[in-house]
Amino acid sequence: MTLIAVDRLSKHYSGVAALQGVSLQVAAGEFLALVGPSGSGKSTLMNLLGLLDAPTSGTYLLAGEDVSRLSPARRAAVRNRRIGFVFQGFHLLPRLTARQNVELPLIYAGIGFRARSQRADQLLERFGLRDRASHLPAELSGGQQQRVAIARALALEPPLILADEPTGNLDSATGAGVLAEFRRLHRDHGLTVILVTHDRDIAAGADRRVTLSDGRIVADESTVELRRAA
Amino acid sequence: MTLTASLGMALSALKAHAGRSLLTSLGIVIGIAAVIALVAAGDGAREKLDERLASLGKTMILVRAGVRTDQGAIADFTPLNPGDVAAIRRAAGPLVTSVAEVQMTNKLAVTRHGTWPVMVVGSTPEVQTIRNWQVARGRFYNADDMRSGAAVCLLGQTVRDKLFPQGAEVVGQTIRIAGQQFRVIGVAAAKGRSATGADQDDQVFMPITTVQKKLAGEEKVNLILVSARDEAALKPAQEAIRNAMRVRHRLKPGDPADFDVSSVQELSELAVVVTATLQGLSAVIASISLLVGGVGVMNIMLVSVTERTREIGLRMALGAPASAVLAQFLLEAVFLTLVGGVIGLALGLVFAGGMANALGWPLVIRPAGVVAACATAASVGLFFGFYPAWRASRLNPIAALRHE
Repeated sequence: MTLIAVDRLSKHYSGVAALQGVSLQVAAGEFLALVGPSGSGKSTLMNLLGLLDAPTSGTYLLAGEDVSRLSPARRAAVRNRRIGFVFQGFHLLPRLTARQNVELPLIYAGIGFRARSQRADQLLERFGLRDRASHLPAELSGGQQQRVAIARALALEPPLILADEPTGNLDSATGAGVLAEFRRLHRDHGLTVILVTHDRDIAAGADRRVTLSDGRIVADESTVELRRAA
Repeated sequence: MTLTASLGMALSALKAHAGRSLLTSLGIVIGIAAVIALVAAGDGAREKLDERLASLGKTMILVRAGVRTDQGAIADFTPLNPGDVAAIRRAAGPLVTSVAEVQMTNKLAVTRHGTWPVMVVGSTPEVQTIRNWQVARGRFYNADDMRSGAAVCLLGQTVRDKLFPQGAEVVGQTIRIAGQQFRVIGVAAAKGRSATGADQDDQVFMPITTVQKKLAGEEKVNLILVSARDEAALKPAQEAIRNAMRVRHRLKPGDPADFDVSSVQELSELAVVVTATLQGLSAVIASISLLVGGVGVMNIMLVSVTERTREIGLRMALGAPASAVLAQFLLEAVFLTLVGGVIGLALGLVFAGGMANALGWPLVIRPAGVVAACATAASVGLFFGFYPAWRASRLNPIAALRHE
């Protein structure tokens, strides 16, 4: 089943094209890495796929629904329910505890207080952070913070996870651990994971690698085949 | 998004900057405290004044010589005379129950024990019923004393204490005023201060004929007190008195009156106008404070929105619609001013209580005023919080997330 179907998607910022007619299909359950040098348009594509921005032209079908012309309020609702974000630098709110951070998407889904904290605790337990639920982000290690961020992305069980340089701020050992976490989610829960990275090694951990340059897709390869060929 | 979640967010944001939040709401605190204290003071003063005026009698009419000027003073023109009193009796007839003329003069009173400046109040026996004066010891002067111009007097409590400090029986004793002897026939009951603040017990009372013959040497009536039959007769009686006085004083139609006819009820109404005006002025001053406070709230909320740009971007990415962001920051602003309002309310009540205590006024707190103060504080938050909240809700999530 096709989760993402993007057809000739373009984005112009004050007349300058950041993305020029990108077409891409992603099946449900794929683990894909989006790579390219800075300015290649991979962040723009990521923002469009994440419904943080609307395309200048082209269409974007998410699970069969055209989401390229939605109102800002509808886009917010789709982000909330269907997309889990993991940002570079974690983006945890410093004044909120780990539990409260995980609860954030649940608040905007209108879920009540008791159900929220139960769901947050369940997720934190799954990531081995049960005894850290009441800690502030500053009291957690980098790896723990990133796991809280992943738990938050999974709060509403979205079919799509978008990760923007998720290992960018971590040392390579911790980064490898976080990558393993994504692999496990992908393998055990059939989640579709799209990873934006400039790190070739991280990208190699994905099943498929899409390379952008100057706002166009220049390569779309299966790393499984690449590995086999090597 | 649930309301409790929004409330929780607003509270934790304010708690994170408790000191800053308190300082920001100071303008609101001062504004609300000023309104509460001044309104309570005005209400207390009005109630106290009403109480005193009511003790004079709701049906009393005062006729004074001269005319009330714009400043409220009585400019002295033609004095009143006994003929005016007779004319008033004839004209008002059954509309009034009693009429008493009053002539006052300031003199020194002397006994073996002391000397004291007193106000000598001369009138007719009817003044006792009109003013509802009580006699503590002895008796009031009567029609016989009046006819003969007897050298008798009643002492007010203050005068008694000054002239007879040892506290012996004073009825039957004599005092000297302007070189003449007066027999004390009674002591008036304590009356306290008048509505204008004069000590009503620092007076000596005697028949008006005595004052005119022995002390003043002339018939110059200062004041005529009239008691209307009831409150309904008040207006017609005043009108009848006014007309009779105009005829006696030979005033042509259109000439300004050289006398003044007023009632206690009118004084009471005047008091209401004066306190309402003062309260109106205090409301204006308080609104300025609230305005300045509101601008302060807007300023700090704009700072807060800038500081928390990344947070706003993150919340939007996680699914917060613009309306939720707007509500969050609006609620914070309302909380800020509401907390200021409640603190101001408490401070205002303390001030009002202290003032009432110091001035001997009753403490009057209207529940509607308390509710209005809180509502005003909250609306200031809504009004001045809207622009910053709207700015927050219009942020672009991508730019906001990248904001350093």
